[in-house]
Amino acid sequence: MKPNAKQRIWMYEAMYRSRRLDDAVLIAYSEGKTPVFNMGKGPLPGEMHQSFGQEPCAVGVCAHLGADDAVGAGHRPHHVAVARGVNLNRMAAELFGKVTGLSGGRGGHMHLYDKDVNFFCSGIIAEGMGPGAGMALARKMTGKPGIAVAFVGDGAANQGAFHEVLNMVGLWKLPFICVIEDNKYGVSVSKKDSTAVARNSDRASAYALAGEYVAGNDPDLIFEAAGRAVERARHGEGGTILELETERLHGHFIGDSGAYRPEEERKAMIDPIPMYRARLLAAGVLSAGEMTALEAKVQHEVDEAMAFGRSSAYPQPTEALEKLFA
Amino acid sequence: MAHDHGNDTGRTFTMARAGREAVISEMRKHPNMFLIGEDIAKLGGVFGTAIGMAAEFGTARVIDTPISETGFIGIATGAAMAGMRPVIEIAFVDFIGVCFNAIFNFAAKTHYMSGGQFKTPMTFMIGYGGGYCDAAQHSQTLFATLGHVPGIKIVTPADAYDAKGLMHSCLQDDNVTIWMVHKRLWGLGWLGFPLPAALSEVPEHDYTIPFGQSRIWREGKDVTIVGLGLTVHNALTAADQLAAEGISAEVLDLRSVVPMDRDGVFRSVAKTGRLVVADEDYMSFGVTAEVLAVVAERDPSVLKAPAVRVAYPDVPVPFSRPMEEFCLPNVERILTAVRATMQGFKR
Amino acid sequence: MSIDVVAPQDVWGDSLEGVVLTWIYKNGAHVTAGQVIAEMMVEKAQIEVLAPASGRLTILAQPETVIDRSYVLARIEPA
Repeated sequence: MKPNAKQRIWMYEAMYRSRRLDDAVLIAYSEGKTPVFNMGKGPLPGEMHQSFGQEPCAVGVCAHLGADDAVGAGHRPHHVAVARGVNLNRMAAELFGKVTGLSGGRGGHMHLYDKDVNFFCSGIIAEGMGPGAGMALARKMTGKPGIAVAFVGDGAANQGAFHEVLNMVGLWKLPFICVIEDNKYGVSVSKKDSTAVARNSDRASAYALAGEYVAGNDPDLIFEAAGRAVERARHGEGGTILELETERLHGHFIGDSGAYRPEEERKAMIDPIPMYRARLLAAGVLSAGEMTALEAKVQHEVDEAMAFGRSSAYPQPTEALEKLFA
Repeated sequence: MAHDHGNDTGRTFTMARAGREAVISEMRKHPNMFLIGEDIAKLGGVFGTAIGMAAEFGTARVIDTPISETGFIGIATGAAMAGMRPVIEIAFVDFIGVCFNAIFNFAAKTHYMSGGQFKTPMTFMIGYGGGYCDAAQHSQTLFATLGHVPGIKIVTPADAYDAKGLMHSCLQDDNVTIWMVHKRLWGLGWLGFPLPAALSEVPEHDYTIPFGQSRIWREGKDVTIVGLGLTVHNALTAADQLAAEGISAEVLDLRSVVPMDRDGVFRSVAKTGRLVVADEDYMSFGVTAEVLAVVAERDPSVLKAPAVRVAYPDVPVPFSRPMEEFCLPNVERILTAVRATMQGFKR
Repeated sequence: MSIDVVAPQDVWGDSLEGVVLTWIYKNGAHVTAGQVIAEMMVEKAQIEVLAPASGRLTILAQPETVIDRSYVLARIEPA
């Protein structure tokens, strides 16, 4: 089923929000890290894996999800968190390591959790799949509604947890979707140099799952395919490997020049957000004025979130010892 | 020989049966509790941890898994985050190698990394220990490996009464808890006849034993022997022999690896002035060093002699019986260690 | 009229020998029909022995006793 106008606007808005946040984070990240790039310095320290170019994957899937569902993301989580509706202020504060952050500063960029929207991350590749499937299992065992979705990258498809979990998803017919964001790279190693098969969605039959591949990094096409996967899960028809072609427009993390990628390849990448913007305007889904207003509103939210993150206090150092056990 | 805690029905249980009684009671009380692991539904667990449970609770709540530890422990963690209470069978502690990330990087850290948003109430049932020629990959103890990572509570009962109480404590706790039993203490016939001292009278009602509380099995005044699991029983046997030699040994069962009863350890050593620690885990970087650190940090002047560690040497578990027996923290090695402490300091 | 307690008859397969492991109730204790009162082994299998009747238990086969399928492990005096 194609997305209607409201859904398309929702998708654009979520992509734009994610992108503006990532833009602001990119600028803030470089503070304190010049002239020598020292990852540990500045207001936004640590590794930073941004989502430039992968936003369609998050919005095309999350457009179908509601309060009963659960979503797990990996080490590149910002677009998924935003699409899922994670509290933006507390997310920004968590990136800054502030006491007002989602985890009070204990998690950081790769470990974003928001219980209000059943969202979690795994900093270890593929290891969020088990917990995601476990949330699906909990819903099936208790007869409660809802499905679970785990977002992973193409590199995760070669990790042991991927195979173990998907076998159990197939065996127990869990209401679970594995979304593979195929940006064709695991840091510096391309998919064709690491993966024995051309399509990870083809691996689905090894686990008695449905498998679908969507080319084009197109929110509308992703929306349609995700809709099929979600319906399958909701109707007890089992799980899906949903493989989405996408583009990692920047390096693996900030500081990675991506020089290992051929120049022509990098130049050929298309940014999906201006593409979708133009499509919505051309189709009359939004007028130019409405678009500008929407973007201004989102920009304001992002500015507020970044300001909230910057201005919030750091936790007391001794708070490091708290919250180990419930 | 069996420690009498006084109970209401005169039932003497093996540790396996005592642990099961606790699990069954909590499973009856909590519909959101379930078992997951290999060989538990049809077989009842390799070490009998789940006998009778599939029959009572059904295979929807006693789930046999494929051989996929990383997968099903990740799944159990997610279920716990979503409000369930999984009880996870690992059988041999050696198998944590194939799922260690799921335990130490995810389960143990979720509550902390989420700032307390997500709890992970999960209990692992794990068997450990050797002495029956099961060789390097099926005989380890690994308290130190598991205990070293913050976010996990670990207990190891040495008799049936403690087995049931500590299992209730684990199942009622909202964190990652590990209930570990030495394979030769379960009471399984195929691992040797049940050790009489590990059998105990077990009350029918539910009861808990606090984490971080050690237990003095035998009071003494000349030396403190700290043990856990099977080494407690080796220490008791040694204590009987020492008494005949005129040496009064106090046997302290740590019971809880994490949290460790550091106060209890120090109190005992301050009283006796001599310390022997017996642990079947590899010697270096482990429980024995942690116990010595308690005394060294608080007041080493309480010692009348150097402390002695009786632990597994830093080698993999050998298969051949004479070699394996040489490595175990057995009664002879404990006797030798105690006699050494009675010599005082060589200065 | 006391009732003999023997091992379950359907667990022996081709084996001729088993062994008594532990008694859950003491000599002289009152047991209830259907309760697990002892554990024994045949080959590698651990077997539960159930009380065939309620009453006072008299143990005949101590732990470690080697038994066969007809060995009278205990007697129960109905009460």
